[in-house]
Amino acid sequence: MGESVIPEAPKLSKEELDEQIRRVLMPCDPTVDQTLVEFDFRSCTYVEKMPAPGILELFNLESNVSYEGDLSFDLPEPAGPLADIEEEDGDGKNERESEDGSGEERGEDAEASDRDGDTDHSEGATVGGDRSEEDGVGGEGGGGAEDGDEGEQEDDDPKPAAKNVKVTRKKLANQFNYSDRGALTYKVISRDESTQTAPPPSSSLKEQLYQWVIFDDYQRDYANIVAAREKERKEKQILARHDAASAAAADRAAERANSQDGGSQESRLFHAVKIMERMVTQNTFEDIAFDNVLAYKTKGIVCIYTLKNPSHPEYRFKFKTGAQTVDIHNKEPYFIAIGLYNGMVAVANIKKGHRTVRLESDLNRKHTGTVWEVRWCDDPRDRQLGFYSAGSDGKIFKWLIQGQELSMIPVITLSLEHEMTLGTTMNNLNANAQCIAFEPNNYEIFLVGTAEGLIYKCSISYSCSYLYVYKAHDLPVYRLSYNPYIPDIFASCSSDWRIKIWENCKPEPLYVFDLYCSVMDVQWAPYSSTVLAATTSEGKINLFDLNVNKNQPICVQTITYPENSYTTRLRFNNKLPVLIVGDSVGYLVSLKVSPNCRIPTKATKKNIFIEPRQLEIMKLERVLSFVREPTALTSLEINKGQNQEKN
Amino acid sequence: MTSEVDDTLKRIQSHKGVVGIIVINSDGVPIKSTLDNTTTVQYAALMTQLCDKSRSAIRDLDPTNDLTFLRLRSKKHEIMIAPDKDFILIVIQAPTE
Repeated sequence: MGESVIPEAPKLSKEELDEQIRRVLMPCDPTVDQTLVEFDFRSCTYVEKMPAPGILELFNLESNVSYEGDLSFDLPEPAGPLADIEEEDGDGKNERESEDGSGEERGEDAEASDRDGDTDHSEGATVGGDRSEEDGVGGEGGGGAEDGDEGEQEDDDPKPAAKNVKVTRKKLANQFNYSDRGALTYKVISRDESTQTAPPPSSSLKEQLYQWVIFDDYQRDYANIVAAREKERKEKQILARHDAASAAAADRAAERANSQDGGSQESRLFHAVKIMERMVTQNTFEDIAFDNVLAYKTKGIVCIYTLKNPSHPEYRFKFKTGAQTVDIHNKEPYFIAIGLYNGMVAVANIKKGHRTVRLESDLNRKHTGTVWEVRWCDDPRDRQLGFYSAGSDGKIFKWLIQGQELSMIPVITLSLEHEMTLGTTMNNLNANAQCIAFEPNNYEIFLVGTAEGLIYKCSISYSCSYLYVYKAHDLPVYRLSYNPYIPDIFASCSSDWRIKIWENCKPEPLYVFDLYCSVMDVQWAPYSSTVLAATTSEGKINLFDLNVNKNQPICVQTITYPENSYTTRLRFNNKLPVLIVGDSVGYLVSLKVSPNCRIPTKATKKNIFIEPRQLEIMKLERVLSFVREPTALTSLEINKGQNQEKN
Repeated sequence: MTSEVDDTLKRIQSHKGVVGIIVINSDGVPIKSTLDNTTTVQYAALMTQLCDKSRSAIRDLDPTNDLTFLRLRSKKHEIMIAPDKDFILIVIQAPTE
């Protein structure tokens, strides 16, 4: 049977055969209760109790050996059983081997009836284990053998060994009834546990700070402080007065402020739109750029244009009848006087935002004929803005702006009776005033041109007599213009084709130009004393410079063609060499005077320190000296005058 | 007042070379436009930023100063911007050669 078993055994390789298979028997005590509980008074609960390691007593021998020797010993180190239990697995082998060694030793001890041997088995084992710990460091089996030898040595000669490690053995405690107790505390298991919470809500704020932001904040803060102070003050006042009305007034004021704010937004939008239109226009007409407000009339409408936006008028005023003439105030250019076909006059004030003020004369106070020209002329004695109107009824009225009213003062009635006797009828015929011009820098003296061809020089101080009467033209005088440099010189134009330049109180003109068609308007240029422009019914602009050419215009420009329309009005810009011309069908043409036609007067070496204005005056004087009466005559007159004075 | 604004805007639009008019409110939303939707939105977004930046630059140089008008001259157009605190008015004009 043994043989039958052998062949059945699997064939094993040498390594497998050599392999040591270790079987360990572990003692387990079935009598030990595993489910032991203990009442814990601290927590008042039943706590599971770990079973104590069971100790089985296998053999117990009472000894009858007595110890005679030095009784001075120390208590043994209580490390024994504890160390045993706590020993690592790696040392288990050593322990066992050392146990073997100690067993061997015990055997010898027993045989030799040594003092040492009388410890009981467990103790011996303990001691052996103790020692084996020390030996485990050094070696294995050899350690055990050495152990044995040492034990023998000890037995033979314990005293020299006392100096060695084995001193401890000498100090063993109670050798007769020694019990060693050990307690094992529960091992507190430490465990790491971590949790992660949801991140707290956060937001990042990013802003760039500029200097003006700081500035604005300070401004706002200051405004708030002021407002708070104001409010406090008001509250105090209200408390003092117990006046509800003042609070209501404050509310009303606040409301008004709000409404103003709302209104201003729209006006700002309108303003922006207007600027935008000017910009667009400027881009369209890029080569021309100018700056002034101009006015012109069309039938029944007065349009105020700016050169910045020639495409559309800035303001428009509509009238029931035709507007004949306009004039813009020199110093306060937002006042515009308008003369109407039906004999009334009107004033527009374009300054007050977008609510333009319009004043009109009433039916009781008006010209009985067409108003042909209006002129601003402030009388410093009036302290109000005033203008004069010349109507076809031969009357000159002065109008003053008094608040919302226009007050009328008759100045003079131009009568023809002294000048003309129409047959036998001695009717009080009035001259038909066509135009009016005030002497520069003199609010009293003015000229009136009439349809009869006469020019009256009048003063506002005398309402029934004239200072002088020029028998100027054969046909209606259309326009009179004072020279801006020498107020004694003025020009007149008429439909008798002529322009005449006059000197104050001289019956004969200094210059006469014939343009071969009726001259509608004549104006002196503000930039030069010798330049004047005239527009004719042929639609041409004639520019004269007496300094350059005393007989012919230096420049003729056709504006319209006679078959379509004719030019009616002409006006220079006060500051710029720009000229606007109006025609009969409502077109307005602006012209820029060419640089060749407006060469500034140069100061010569002699008169380098003379002001430009003085230079202009000298230039005109020089031009006029050619046509004035010979100095011999004038000196004669002067002599006469002197003689008269002497007499 | 509103009709006056509308009239003026119409006149501007009728000028030759004017490509379009856009009015943007303070939130950058186009209120009025004569251009197509995409272009308007693009202009509104970019010009608002440009205005803010320009104003910032002007105010940074002198806090008491403020931006009143902006003209951008480009090869193809001139963009004119009238910024206000409540609105921005943009006009795009093509040069008249």
